[in-house]
Amino acid sequence: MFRLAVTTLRYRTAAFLAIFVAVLLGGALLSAAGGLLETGLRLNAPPQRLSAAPIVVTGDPAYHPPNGSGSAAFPERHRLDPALLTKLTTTPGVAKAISDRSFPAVITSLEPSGTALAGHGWTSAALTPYTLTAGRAPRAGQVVLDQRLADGAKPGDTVRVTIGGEPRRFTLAGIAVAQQQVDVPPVFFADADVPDGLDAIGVFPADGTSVRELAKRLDLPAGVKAYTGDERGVAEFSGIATGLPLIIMSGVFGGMVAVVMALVVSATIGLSVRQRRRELALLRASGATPRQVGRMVIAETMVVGVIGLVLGLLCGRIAGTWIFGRLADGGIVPSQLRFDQGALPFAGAAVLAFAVLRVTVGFAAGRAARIRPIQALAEAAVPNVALSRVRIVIGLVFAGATAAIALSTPFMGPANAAAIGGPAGLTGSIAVAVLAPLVIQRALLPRITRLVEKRGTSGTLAVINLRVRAVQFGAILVPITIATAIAMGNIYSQSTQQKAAVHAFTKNLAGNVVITSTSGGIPASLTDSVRTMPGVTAVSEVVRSKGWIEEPYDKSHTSDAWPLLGLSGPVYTGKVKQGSLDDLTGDTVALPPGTAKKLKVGVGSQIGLRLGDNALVKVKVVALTEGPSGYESLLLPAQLLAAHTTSGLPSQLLLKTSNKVHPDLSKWPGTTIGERELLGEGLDTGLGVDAWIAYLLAAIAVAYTAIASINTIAVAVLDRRREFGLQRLTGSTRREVSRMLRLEGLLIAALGLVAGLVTAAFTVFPIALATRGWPIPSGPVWILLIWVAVVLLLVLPTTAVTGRIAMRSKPMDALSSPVG
Amino acid sequence: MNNTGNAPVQLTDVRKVYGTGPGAVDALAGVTYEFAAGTFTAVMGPSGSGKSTLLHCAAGLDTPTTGDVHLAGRSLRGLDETSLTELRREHVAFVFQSFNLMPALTVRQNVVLPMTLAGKQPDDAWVTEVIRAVGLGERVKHRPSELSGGQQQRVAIARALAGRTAITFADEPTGALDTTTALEVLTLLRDQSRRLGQTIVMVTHDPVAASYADRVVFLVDGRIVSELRRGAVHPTAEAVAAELAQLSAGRLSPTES
Repeated sequence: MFRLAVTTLRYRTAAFLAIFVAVLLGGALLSAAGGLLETGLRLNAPPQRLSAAPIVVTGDPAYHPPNGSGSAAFPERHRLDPALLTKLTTTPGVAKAISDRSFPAVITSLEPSGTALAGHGWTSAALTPYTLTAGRAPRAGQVVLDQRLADGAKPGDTVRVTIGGEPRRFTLAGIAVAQQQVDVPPVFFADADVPDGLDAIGVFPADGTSVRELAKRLDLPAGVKAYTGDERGVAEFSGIATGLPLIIMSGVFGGMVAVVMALVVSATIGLSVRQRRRELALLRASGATPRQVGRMVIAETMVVGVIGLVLGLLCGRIAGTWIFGRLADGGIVPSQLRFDQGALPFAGAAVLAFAVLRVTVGFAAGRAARIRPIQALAEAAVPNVALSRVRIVIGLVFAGATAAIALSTPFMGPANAAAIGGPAGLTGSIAVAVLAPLVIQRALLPRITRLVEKRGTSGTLAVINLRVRAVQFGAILVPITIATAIAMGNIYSQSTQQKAAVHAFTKNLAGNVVITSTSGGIPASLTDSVRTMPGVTAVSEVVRSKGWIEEPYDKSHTSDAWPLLGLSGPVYTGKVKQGSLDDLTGDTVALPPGTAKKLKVGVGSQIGLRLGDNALVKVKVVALTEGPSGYESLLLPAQLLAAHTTSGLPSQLLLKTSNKVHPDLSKWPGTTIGERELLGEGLDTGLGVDAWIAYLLAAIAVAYTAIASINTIAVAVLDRRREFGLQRLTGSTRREVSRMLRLEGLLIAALGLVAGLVTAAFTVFPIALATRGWPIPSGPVWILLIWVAVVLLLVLPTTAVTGRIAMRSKPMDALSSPVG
Repeated sequence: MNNTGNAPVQLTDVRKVYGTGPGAVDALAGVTYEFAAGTFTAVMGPSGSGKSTLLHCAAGLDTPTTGDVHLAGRSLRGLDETSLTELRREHVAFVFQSFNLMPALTVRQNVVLPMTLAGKQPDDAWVTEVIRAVGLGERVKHRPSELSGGQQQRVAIARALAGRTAITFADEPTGALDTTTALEVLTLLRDQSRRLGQTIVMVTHDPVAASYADRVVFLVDGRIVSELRRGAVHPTAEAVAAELAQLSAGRLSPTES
């Protein structure tokens, strides 16, 4: 039986090629997803600038809600108590402990300009270690530069450095070179010039003391941890707090790949079984039991699938590295994070892909096993649309679920809209896949027939063909529909949410001019200077961070933090229900009324906020302010919030002006002025991961449509060689048959696109309603246009080429050909 | 059952209805017949008379709506697809109009296919002899696409003989062949089967083909309406044709009940 299966393989290249490619891609992408999962679980970021210290002590970058589950990344770096340095230095077994502090420092006199967090004290040079190649250690007013920043400057030259937004002059004391790879070239200052506070402490164990044992033994305050080995990068790079985004992404991505692979494989087997109906029926007539036929189909598919899987796993490393590279480029993961793809992701991918393949093939082979021997005797008739009652019920259940999800999504908050509304795309796709042949034949075709009949013979023929071959055309239509639904649904619900979030944030802020800075933040001197400028009626610093309400404990925001907005001027236009925003100075806060009610606090109450740098501050509620529903923020004084951010400075300045102002900003290098659109820039909507998932899914969807539709079209068209021969014998020219085929292709592409867009609408419109309060999605139209072009480019050339191949032989030979 | 004699194929009041309600069609309207052991029976009738349905029901390829079929002494009633397949594999061989060879397999592989599927070791000497007997000794390694129509049908006959099954069902075995080749194939089928003592049931609409049989059964509108039996000689093609012409005329006549 197995030999029989292998023998037939050579004669079915086209169908098996599709399965091969689908499993190859599936294997590669699943092991890539496994790699993302392993990377997210391990979170290995080998240290660079801190690599000389065997133990690095720093604050836990992850916030653990007091009585909630899960964790979230602290948005800001948190500082250590300076007393800890003394304590660690005197701990037995510690040879020395060196503190590290990073702060925004940008060289503005030399090209290229450094990156924001490049400033460090010279003592911390020993943590890399950095050694001087010229000059000497810096004293007050002096700097030592990484050789890459020096750019030909010599010791004694003057260097302009912007620290904390303020430009200052320093003398270049020396040039140093790292003994390690360090991506961000540092600027070293004399310790006297370094701002207060500690970010991390590098601990060197005494001779004979085990690193691991010492790290465990260190007496550290709560929320502070000792890191060793590859974990030490946590203290150096931001964004390595939690692997959750990567873990979620690998899960969604991997699951989607598995589903798509299963769909392609089952559709391909289904089609090839239908095409080989007679041959399989003949086998049955020759004495093969249903089980034997099923086993043969399983065997031949598994042979191809396993070869594809092995090759796919071999490509898994390439796929994983590529995807990870894109994620790092897109800023979703820190680029210093090491992509870990050990043996486990490959083993997992192999097991999962094999299991998915085997189950799918098992189901699909059931159809082959149900073929009856009598079908070998009857003339190959056009397959009938006969959907079993079970199938119709399943289809209706999924269609109902889609409608139910779509109807309930608008009542969810914006935060949950995507999670609730997203699956509508999937359930809708399944409903389409299950019901497509029936819908095509019963509902769509009679209508289209009337339309196309006016187009003459080839038009009528095309429609007749669509009608009698509803099942086969369903096989081509379904992948187009599903891919369109998934790709368009994801991308547009994502862009809609993004737009809604930005809109919600900017809506309640008045002001027409925005000043931003790329050199670490807006210094107080700039704010003061702008305030006195003629034509400026109001000025507010804008600080953005995230935090949690801990006293009284707020259960509504645990792993997703409250957005915190720091303001220092009258620019908030949301309705103030109680109290006044004029009192928002010192240690105060303004809450959304709903939250205040839930927490049973009011104006005058004292609450405890956990800010982004892990500091717990007691603040007084001074106002209850309404924000856009679902996008409420806590309002804090800009000074209070800025002090608890990594840079320590506001990021933007918002101005209300009575006429056009042209402030002179040359005194503050790195600052730019613009319209209020700048407000939305750099806004962390928390949608980055979702956006990438949407794009990855769209990419898989393209690959899936490509494989599935090219394959099904090729198989279906070649299958009709005899029919074309007959048409040509009865008087159609080759050109007329081609025209009929092209019309069929266009019809299928159009039907697939429309069905897919309708399915996507079940996701996109409710999400738009939930997030924007308005059922119109937003997003660039060109994505839709490109998608339509991609689908047409897949369907039309494939139809044309296979049609030409199918008509290459003489009509008479085609009639007697064994195929079809 | 009292009629489980030694006839390898027995049909008892077999009806086959296609469709339901007022549009239902009786393909077989109560057929009772015994195909006796070692006989060569031709089933004839005009198009739509139900002759193919009769063959399918008799061979267990299709299930009658009512009535009983006994194949090789076993009732087919209640047997599932697998049991039916195993029963056919053991006792039945087929020769079809469209040759129905597996395109991917060689002549020899096609001939031994039923045995391969049954998991039986084919008797190599016998298979070689059978292939030689049908005149394809030189072509064992060829694939069907490299053979002519007549040669392909010979492969099908070799396949029917190789399993030494008791019954061979043939459905228009000469339908796709020219007259000369058809006669060769029919002779081969009759002579070789007789050597093995096989029972042959052949459906055909060709009086010449039918004249090779020992008996000819005429089917009209799903009923057996007459039968020609070999007396001293075979039913001649002329006799068969005359009978057929008369039956067709009778069916068209308004006086027929």
